[in-house]
Amino acid sequence: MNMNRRCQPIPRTEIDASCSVPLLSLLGGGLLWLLIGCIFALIASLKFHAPHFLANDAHWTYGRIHAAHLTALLYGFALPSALGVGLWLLCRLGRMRLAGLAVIFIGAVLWNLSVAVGVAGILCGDGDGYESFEMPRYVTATLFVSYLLIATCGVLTFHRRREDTLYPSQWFVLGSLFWFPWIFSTASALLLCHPARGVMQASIAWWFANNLSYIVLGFTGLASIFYFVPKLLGRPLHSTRLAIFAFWGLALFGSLGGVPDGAPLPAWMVSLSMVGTVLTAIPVLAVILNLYQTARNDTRALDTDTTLRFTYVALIFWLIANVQRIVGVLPDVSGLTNYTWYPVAQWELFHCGFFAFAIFGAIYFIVPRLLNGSDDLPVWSPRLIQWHFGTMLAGVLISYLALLVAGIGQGYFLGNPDYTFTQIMTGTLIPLRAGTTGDLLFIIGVIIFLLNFALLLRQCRHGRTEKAVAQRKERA
Amino acid sequence: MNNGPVVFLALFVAMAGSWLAFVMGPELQIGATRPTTSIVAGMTDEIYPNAKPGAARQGAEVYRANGCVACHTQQVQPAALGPDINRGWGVRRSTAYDYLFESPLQLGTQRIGPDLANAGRRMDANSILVRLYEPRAITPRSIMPPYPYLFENHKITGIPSPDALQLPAGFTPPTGCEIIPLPEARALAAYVTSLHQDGYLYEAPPPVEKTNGPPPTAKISPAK
Repeated sequence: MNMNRRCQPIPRTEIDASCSVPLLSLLGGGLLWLLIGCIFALIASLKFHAPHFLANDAHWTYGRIHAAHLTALLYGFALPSALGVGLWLLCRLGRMRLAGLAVIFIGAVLWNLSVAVGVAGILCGDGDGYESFEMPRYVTATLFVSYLLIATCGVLTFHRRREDTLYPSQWFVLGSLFWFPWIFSTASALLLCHPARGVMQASIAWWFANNLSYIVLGFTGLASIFYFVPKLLGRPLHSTRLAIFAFWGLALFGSLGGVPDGAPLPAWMVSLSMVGTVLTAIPVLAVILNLYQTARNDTRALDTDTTLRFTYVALIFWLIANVQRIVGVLPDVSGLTNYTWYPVAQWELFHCGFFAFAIFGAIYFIVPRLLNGSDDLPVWSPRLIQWHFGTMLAGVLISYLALLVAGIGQGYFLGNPDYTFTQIMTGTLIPLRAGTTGDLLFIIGVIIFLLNFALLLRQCRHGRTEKAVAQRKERA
Repeated sequence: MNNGPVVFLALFVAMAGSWLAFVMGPELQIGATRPTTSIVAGMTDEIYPNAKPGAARQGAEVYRANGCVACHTQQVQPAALGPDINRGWGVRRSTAYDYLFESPLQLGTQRIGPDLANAGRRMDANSILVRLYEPRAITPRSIMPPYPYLFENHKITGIPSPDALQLPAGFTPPTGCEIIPLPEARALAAYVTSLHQDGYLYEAPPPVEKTNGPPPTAKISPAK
């Protein structure tokens, strides 16, 4: 290993060219699943306008479409995109070509096929019934194997790195790569193969869902933020030690959580979950402070750089989602927020806000470099970027606020015996119906992005790159 | 800090901590729980909970397949925490005992519909079937979707079926027709009627009647 690292680092363009096919298959598949997942979300949302909508067909009943929406977003979009961005970060930061290109490609194909079979299975009624772990049992093995194939190549790339100094992003990516196989195998073994008894299933399912969101996906999003903010500002990270401290804090405390207050589990578990969640305030503060100090007094890049703009928005969403998570478990609040739309709002903000924006920021940077292994990059259409940013931001904000209002209203009025349950739920329909606009805008945003992607591919074929565009401007 | 194995060791420690706390720990503590006879009320020898009948177990699969858990929880929060008991969703909080025979466990995390932990004590099979066929036949402004695919619309030939749904006025099928629940619907109704959490346990005793008298005094005075 040490001998390897004494070798010359690989040039950036060569690294990018090396990982083109496997990463495009991971990211491209993820984007298509994002679109599918959002369409499922829209259909589920329309059920709140008319319960009879698509009610005659078992495949499109709310319970199944809701599970299919979560599964398409988590397993179709989020995990492969996290892998794609994570592997690229490991290559770039280790200054090494990606290892096992064919293996990753096979893994990506197998993963996407498994997700397709799994989502179809859920629509046919084969879902497991555990939130965030709805995948039918017959695809869990192939999902696990394909993730292991891809993650092993990531670890191998890291092992062969030619840059001695580790950057915090590498810690976060490795954490994510390592964490998922562990939680996924535990959940598969103890929920599907040899189901644990009674309420233990809930404990495992909550533990899985919490770790999947806040560790596996959260870590990759943070890795991307920690990489791009200093890089694009052209400054060093304020403090590497503080970032590693935040990593430790999030790994230790963030992984304890997800058990709702009052759950029929031993009381110490509820307390531990609450304490763990509240303690994440320290690493969250460390992350924000670190990046604030890094980016202080420099807002000019915000207007010029797409990746940076998406990344900043992702960071803000991450902060809000974490604050909401911490507030939601506080003893006086948890009784109001438990089992309402409040945690759903937080889920929406974390995945469609923080994670999706971090990934899109990374994609805007990575994809042109993957398509063209030189310094002369194809350019995105700036107008479509504006539209994409605007519609997605508005979509997430509308959905989030609608769910938040519905959640707080539901929690508040449930405590008042003057209102029947039906009255309260009919009341939540007002914000929920408004939230459908958000779902629609988000879909439009994704479509605009896919359009831009298609244009980028065409430009690449016609050789319209940064230099060509600049020359044309000069001539004009 | 620049050593790969150190990163992995650190990750292993953090991961193991979380795993020990939420998977191994509770498994050791409550994983081997068996039905108990320690029921407070009346101190009977009755065993709680009891295994579910076969139809209810089939119904649990229908419940899972249709994602009922997306809108219905099956857990009663303690009175100090939530309004569940006041809303009539249960007489006491849920405990780990209540779920010994639930598999797959459908605890749920969101209530778009009411909690079903004690649904079997509130509704009979026919009322559940009517709600599945057309929720608004019972709750006029219900936001629950109907499940017509769990029923069959039959032309009556000869004697009307005894299984036909008894629908309220305004929701009845055209004359000469009847709505027959499919086996899935009946299994689902059997499952929902089997849901109840009413054995009083030491960790969830019956609610204490509020009295106007003075609060009970401590029997043991502190040692001097």
